[in-house]
Amino acid sequence: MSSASASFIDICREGLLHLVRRPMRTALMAMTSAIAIAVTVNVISLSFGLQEDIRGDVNMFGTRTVDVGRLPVLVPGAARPSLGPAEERSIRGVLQGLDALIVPRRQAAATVTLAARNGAEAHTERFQVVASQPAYLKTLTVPVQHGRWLNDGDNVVGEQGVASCALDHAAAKRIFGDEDPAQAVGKVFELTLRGQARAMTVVGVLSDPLRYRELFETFDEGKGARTLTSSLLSFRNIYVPERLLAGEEYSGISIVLPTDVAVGQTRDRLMTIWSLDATDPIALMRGGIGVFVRKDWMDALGASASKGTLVGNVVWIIIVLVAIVMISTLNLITIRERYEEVAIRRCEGARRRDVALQITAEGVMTSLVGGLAGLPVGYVGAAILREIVQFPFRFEFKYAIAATGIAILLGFFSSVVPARHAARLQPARVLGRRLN
Amino acid sequence: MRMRAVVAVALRRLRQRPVRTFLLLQGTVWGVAVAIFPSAVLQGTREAARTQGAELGADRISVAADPTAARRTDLRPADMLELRKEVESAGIPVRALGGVRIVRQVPKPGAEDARDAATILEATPGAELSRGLALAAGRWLRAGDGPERCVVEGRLAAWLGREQLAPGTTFRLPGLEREFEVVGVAKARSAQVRRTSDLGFDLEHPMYARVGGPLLLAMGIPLVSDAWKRSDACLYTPLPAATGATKASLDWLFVRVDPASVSRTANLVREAFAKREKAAVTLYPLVLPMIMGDAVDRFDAARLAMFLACLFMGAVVMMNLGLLNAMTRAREIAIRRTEGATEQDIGRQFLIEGFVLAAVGAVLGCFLGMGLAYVRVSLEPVTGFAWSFPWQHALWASGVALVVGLLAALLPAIRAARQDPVRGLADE
Repeated sequence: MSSASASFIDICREGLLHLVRRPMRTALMAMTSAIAIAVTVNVISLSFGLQEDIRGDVNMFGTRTVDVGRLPVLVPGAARPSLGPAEERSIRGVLQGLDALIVPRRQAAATVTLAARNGAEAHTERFQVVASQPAYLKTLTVPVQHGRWLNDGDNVVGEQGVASCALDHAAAKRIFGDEDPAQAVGKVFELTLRGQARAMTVVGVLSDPLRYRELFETFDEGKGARTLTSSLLSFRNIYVPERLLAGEEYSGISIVLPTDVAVGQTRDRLMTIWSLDATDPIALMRGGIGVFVRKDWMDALGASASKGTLVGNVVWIIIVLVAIVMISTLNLITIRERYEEVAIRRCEGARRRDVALQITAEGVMTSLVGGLAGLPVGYVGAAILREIVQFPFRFEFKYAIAATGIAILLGFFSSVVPARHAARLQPARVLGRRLN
Repeated sequence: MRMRAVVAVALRRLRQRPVRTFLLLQGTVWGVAVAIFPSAVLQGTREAARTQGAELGADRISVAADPTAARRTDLRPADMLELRKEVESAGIPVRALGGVRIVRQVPKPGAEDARDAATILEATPGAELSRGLALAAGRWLRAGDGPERCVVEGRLAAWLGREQLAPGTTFRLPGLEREFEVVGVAKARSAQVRRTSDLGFDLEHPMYARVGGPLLLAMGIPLVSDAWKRSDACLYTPLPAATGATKASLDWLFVRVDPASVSRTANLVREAFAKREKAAVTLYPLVLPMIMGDAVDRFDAARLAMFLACLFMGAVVMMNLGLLNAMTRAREIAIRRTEGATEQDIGRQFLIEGFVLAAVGAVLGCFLGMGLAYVRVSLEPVTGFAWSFPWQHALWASGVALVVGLLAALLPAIRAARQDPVRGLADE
């Protein structure tokens, strides 16, 4: 056992010596693997990291919330399905015993006049108003960042018609400028809702569950095509007490369940009233009222994010493969030069295995050193790209560890062919040629 | 030794080692391909949007009432006037503006597909143009036309089983008493246009069903029952004046502007409706305006980084192999020297090998880039996605690749030229 391990160390030392003797070539080979690893870590971090972030973000939208609402289908002339207290009662009826929290809400588009700033003139901008009970916050998993959420007291008509409201982080930033949204709490702005202008006092600001909002909004051409109900989850809303839109039909009814099992049961029971699944395109075309399970939607989003990750994986696999081919070629040519050295080592008693091992050890060491050198290169590269492209390029430690593993594999696989080649050399023939 | 002879030797060496030459090419080929492929798609699509934008509907915004809103929204002809004012005051010329009300969809007798229907529309003046129709014969509707007069779309004649519907002809639709008189006939639209949705997607593209459609639903974008828009078998009748210019409720409004202004116009339309307390959805081709905008140009830096990384990797490998080559070919070099080749000849030969490799790599890279662009375009379910050869980018990328290739060949060339021929021969 001890002699075997000693010989392995010897082999490694031999390999290391060889690498040190040829600093230029070693450096060049290490550089190839450094670039491959730098790009690989970036691509992996970007695709896996983004996917994780998106999953994390959408999980704040309420994983145990089920929505009932009018289906987002445009059928001109179709009868308008009604959604009001009667439908709420039927929901309460079928969901008895599930400990469900049932929160109806009303939504409307409204405008806010924004003051002139940053060179832009004063203008009105469209916001979505959500009027609901204080329990509405429970349909989401988004924390209140500053101030407080709406309470029953806010639903009572205040002095001179001033009403309280809570804002999404993005709405607060838009209404009060890019200053700290904490400053928005206590401020007053004018909201025009249903043709009536009224002063609103901000009592609280929710945190923003969309980490990449700016990037998303730059490319979000679909915002105008989204319906009122679905743009609820854009989190750019103004939340007001129920009384502000009282008397209208509901826009939707959100149901919060205590367990995942109850979510499934709720879906099944609601299907007995409205047999329409809002994520099924064929059912959708029939119009009417539909049931929308947020968890299903999140899974669908997660699946499409995974498809994006797959593309990212293909990119780095190609890069690593090209690097393997390149380093392998380099090694092969190096071996040709080292025929005599290999032959002499064989004469000194080294076995075929030892030769193969030495070549492999050299390859792994070069790639490992190159890979480790590639980590800072990747880190700086990601930082520069993030700055220029404004895209969340990143460099994560856990993927760096994975990349180091990839570097070892890179070295191993790029040494397989050269090592076999070297091991199969006939020492007598090589040395004989020399003597002749 | 003459230049031609040196070039011939260099080329022969490259041909003698096809595998090595192939491997050496990889860095340059992939670098150039990665550098030009996104610009090929971007440039091609931008050209397509500019030249065929109107035909493909890339200049059109369709507006409908929000189907999920609690209060019913009515779109009225008065809204159109308001819209025109808003859009034009923002300095965007309105190319066409109109609205339609769907009166009736008449299914084809015996047809299995219920969507194979002729649709009777009541249209505001200008609605035909706002739908992107072009006149083939006759005239558009005008004020004072009676309810029997109509403009027909290109395929209605075929739908009725007739050879043509010339202006002045009268006809009836199956199962209807009402008689129509044709005043104008629109040109038939291409098959591509008839497959394209308001959001600019090719509905029959296999990737639409697999990716596009589910993604739109996940984004909360409504499904639209709009087979009538693509049927090319509609007839436009005048919106009855009796119900008044302000009373009639329309199902759809259409605004056409320059394709580059579509996104901004849609914003204006949304704000205008919000001010009027109306919940509306605005549909327009989602991808083309994004490509027309400058937000995508940000990714140039990422592309440049990939290009340089590939090229650098290629250059390192080329230089390394060149160095090794110079060593392993000591005997060949020595023989050539004894045959009378000068140091310069040897150096030149190595440089020319490097240059040829970079040049061939750049050309192949252009082909590979175009191939990637072709694959990318054919995978895209968006109508109007196209590629074209980006000359400027290709020249730049090839130029950089050539310079880098030459630089990578410089060191091996010097090393080879300086080799001592006596030692090269003695070693054997």
